[in-house]
Amino acid sequence: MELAEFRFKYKRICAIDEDTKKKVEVFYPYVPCSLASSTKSTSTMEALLDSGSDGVVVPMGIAKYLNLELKRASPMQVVGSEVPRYTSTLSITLGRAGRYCDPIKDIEVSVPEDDDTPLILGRDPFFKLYIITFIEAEQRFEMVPYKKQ
Amino acid sequence: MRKKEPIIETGSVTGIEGKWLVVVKGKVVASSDNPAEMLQRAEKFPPEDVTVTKVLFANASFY
Repeated sequence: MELAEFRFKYKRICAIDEDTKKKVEVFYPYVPCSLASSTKSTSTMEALLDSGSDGVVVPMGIAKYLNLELKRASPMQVVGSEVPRYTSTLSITLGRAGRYCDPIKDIEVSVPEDDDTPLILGRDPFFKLYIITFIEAEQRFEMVPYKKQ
Repeated sequence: MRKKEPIIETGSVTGIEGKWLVVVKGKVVASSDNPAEMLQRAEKFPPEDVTVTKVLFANASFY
């Protein structure tokens, strides 16, 4: 498996509150990627790169789109509360604009019972496979494949 | 010295908090609470032009 090196600018999002119509400008470390099951793959999606997440989190709607086989698992602990969840496995290919890595296969993912969460790339496996540096002051981040010494 | 790869721009987008979006060449063409619906809509566009993304709640913290 060949992992490419990536450098990304944070994504700028102008988030509008549905009730007040107030706009807030925010910047997030979003990684373009595509997800694949044994039968189907997604278009390019943007996933939040999150060192605070133990692993990959896939919203239920995406799991259903991919026809993932879901197994009931213990609830996720989210800021002091429990969220019912399932687990499954899939492949993820990072990149876009002509720059891709090989698919990272057999990733175990958590699938909460709702679509409220974003697609999240957490520490397992991404922070094991890559040295990841957030340069918050410049709103960019770098992913360099980790090479065992 | 390692040559750095060129930086990839992820651009900008405007939308209602919490919504999933289909973005084609930087323009939002669909919006929904349902990501599966947005992935189905995205199938109609050339893969190199389309992205499915989510408008996060500002100042939110996730896992």
